[in-house]
Amino acid sequence: MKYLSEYRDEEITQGYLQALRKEVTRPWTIMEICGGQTHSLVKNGILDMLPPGITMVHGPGCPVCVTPLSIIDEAIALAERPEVILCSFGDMLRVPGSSRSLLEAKARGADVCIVYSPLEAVQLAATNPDREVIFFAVGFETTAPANALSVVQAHKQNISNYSILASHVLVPPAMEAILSDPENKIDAFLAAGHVCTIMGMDEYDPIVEKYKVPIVVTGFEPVDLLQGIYMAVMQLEKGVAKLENQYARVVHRDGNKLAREAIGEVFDISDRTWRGIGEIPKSGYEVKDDYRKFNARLKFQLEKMVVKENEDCISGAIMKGLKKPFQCPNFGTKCKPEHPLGAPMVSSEGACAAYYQYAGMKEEVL
Amino acid sequence: MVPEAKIEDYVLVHVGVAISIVDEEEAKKTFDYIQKIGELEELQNSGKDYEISQ
Repeated sequence: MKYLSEYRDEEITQGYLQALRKEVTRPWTIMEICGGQTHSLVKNGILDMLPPGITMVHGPGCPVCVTPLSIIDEAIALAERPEVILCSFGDMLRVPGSSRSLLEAKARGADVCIVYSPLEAVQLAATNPDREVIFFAVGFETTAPANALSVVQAHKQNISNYSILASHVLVPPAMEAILSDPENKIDAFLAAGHVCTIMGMDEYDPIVEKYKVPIVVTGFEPVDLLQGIYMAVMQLEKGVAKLENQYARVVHRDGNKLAREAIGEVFDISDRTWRGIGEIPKSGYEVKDDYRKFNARLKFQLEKMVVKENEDCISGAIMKGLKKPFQCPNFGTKCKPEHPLGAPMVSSEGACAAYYQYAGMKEEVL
Repeated sequence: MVPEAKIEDYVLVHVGVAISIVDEEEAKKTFDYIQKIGELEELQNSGKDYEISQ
């Protein structure tokens, strides 16, 4: 077993689809939290194959998409300092800031470098002692341990020219914010498998309890997603709300303790503004005071920026599951991956990019 | 971040860091589950009582 091809098996996929068709007796709206799941659903044509009663809405689990304009502007301001090498994951580069993106800043001479791991940025700092290396630490709970580890590593190796611009977000507070919205129509959630790999499942029990909403921790391959949807539908049809784990081959009930310890060592929970959604209390991580010399905001004395979001972008409604990308008047016209109005059209986890790339611009997917 | 990983284990790697070991027994259950659904349908069709166990 290689744990990958089997989960893309056509026969099993069809089996789940058939089983679903038999179970669905009324319309249900299910939100998948993670942008990786959104892309898999669209890329594999699952949205087209689901029984008509099931509507999938796409959640806020795209870290690039929810990074507010003010933090992108902070990153650009840092990148434009002559002593700075700003390291970032690739899909952050084309996200528009107030006046330009990181990619445009790079074209104007800023030293912006794409890395695949924060540990590469620490390495870069070690080999460039005369420069200031800043890692743009974007991510959900899944990415936080690696980012924390980079700070611990820099601290242990006495690398003083490394710091991070933290832009971390947390899933459960966002789910609560979505469920508290009076317009929300979500009947069940597919929780993000890789977030739960780190955090475990306990923090979702209170949400199931409070909102009586089924939550199924789900993986990312077609068979995973269909099994997750099937398990959610079975609960809905029976009228029960439970926390279940479809992705047990990777997610353990108590998560990864070592990874959580790394997070706890470096980060404190903080309030966070989500692009398109607004401020959600206790929904992010900021660098702890003990590690303040690795906090780029303090190190470079960044002032808090107040900026206005682009009103033409409806990313907030999309990430709360209230609208689909096709319902945006600018989708595919004023807003394309090459010229995005907002982050969901840019990121490899953004819902608009998924529809643009894979759904063939078809209205029927609605 | 999975110090218990052994050679030949499959691990899940995210941004350069291993975060979980893939559990083979659990991995198989997805396929058992769909099989069970199929068997249930057969039972259902033959008019017998059924119950999902997972």
